[in-house]
Amino acid sequence: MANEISTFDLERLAERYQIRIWQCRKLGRRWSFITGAGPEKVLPSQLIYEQGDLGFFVQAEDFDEASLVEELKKLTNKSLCC
Amino acid sequence: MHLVNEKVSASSWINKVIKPEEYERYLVDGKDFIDDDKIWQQIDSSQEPSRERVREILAKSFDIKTLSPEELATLIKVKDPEVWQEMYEMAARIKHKIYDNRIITFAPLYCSNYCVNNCLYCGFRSDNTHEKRERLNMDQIKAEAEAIAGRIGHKRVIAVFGEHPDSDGNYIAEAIKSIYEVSVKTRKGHSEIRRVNVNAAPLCVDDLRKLHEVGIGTYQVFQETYHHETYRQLHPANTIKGNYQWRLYVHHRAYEAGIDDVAIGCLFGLYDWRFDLMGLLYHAIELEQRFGVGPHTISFPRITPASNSPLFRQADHQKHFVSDEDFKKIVTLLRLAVPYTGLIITARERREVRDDVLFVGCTQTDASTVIGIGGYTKNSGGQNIDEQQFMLGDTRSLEELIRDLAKRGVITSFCTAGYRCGRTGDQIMDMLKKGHEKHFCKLNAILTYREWLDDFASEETRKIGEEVIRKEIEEVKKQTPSIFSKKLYDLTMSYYERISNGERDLYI
Repeated sequence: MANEISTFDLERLAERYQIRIWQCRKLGRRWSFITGAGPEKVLPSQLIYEQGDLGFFVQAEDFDEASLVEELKKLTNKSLCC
Repeated sequence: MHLVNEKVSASSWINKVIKPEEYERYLVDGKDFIDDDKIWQQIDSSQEPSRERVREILAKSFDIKTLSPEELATLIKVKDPEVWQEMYEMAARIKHKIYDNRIITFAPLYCSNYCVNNCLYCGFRSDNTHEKRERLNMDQIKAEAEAIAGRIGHKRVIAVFGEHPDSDGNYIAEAIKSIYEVSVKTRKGHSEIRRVNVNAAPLCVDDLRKLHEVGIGTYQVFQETYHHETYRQLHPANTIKGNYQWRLYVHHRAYEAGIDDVAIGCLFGLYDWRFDLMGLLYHAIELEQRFGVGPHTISFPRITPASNSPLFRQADHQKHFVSDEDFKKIVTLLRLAVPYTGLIITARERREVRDDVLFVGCTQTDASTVIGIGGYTKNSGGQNIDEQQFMLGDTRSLEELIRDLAKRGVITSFCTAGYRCGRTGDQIMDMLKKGHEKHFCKLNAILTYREWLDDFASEETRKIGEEVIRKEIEEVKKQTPSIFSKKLYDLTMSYYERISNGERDLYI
């Protein structure tokens, strides 16, 4: 089971990339909501990064996906080390 | 872990089921959140309100705010038919505001009717020797799921279980996994059950965790009646179900176990409907206040005859029966009181009743319904009171229902997207309350309707359905970019195209 990242970090990412982002845990076919940040948008929900059973969804018009994924990798690794 | 086919003595099992520490911690001075005297006081002290007062309360509902018990008690007091008409219309508007013009459909899947309880109104009760008892094994459950997904075309089920050691938490978890494993080839693609909701007895936290881990959709438990004394009379004290508070706090335990979509309900007709309506509201408020998430859905079945039921032999058994007129009021008042929640009307109700109340705020219904154990596979047709929990009032097929809804401008949705992209728990509550979720509902309804038309519809239904889709797409187009961004519109249309070409399960 992968470790979650903090709400503080999610809020920072939401602000920086101007996105709605939320983390979920995969359970069977279900992605169960854990925490999220940023204003909701009527936009597609994109699963942009998965580590173990943890997944990160984003709603945004345009954003630097590669950079965000890099940050998520670092943050989830950091969480795992703590 | 006890295996599904390992025999456990029912009496030794019963003694271990209830864990007092798992509900006593929520009691305040030993009392639960249903105060019978207070509820009656609230109902009795309300006067028939002025039209202005009603409109103030309706405005609050339209703002998607949960009403207070006093406000609901006030609405219950309305007698003027013209004011009721306003309330019906407002309920319909609120439903549309939150969920758009779509109805979600599902099928019940009865897995086992062994039961250790003895509820006086239920065909499954242990003393009923007329009832034919069955418990499906995992292959049989899969066969049922294949029939539901592959022959009828449903994408969600509510799996139903009696309370018995042979259908405990392990069995339920295995059943959920088995249903999810099914995939059936269809005319143009494939079909599977994408959301497994569960209606089962109250479980302990450890068992609820097992259901959470296998990806349960919604966990549904009905209190039956919130009135303590009536509950005591109908549920013998020496049974598990005789413990009111173990049942009342099961949704609390579900949240503790990580299940964030829970459903409440009440069997109307056991006690005064006004009281039980207030009980449902108190329950919703309790969950909102404790966990920040109210009930995902509320059900409000009316009692119907069951096999060899002692309740139906009592001379005064009809004293709390709910008339069709009052039933419509119940649905309306629920939509107004807990505006964000899904409301489920089932095939228990007669066709004309269902057709009427669907439009005052219901969001989900079932069709092609079979409630006998293994009934979809047997496909015998007809109903047998000794093989099912109660009698159905509306046996329309899914295809007939879809056609009837389409003629009234309603799109049938098979959407299960929300819980597969994390729109669950407080996330979805928030979106429902802000009116955002309906936009996703609309798009996903179009995509899943396309799937069903291509895979299951007759030529006649397909033609009617095409017209519904054309209008829906037209509406989405008109609302682009004001509501739907160009990106979202384009994505939806590309998914639509791919689904038309045989891909399945694409969602927004």
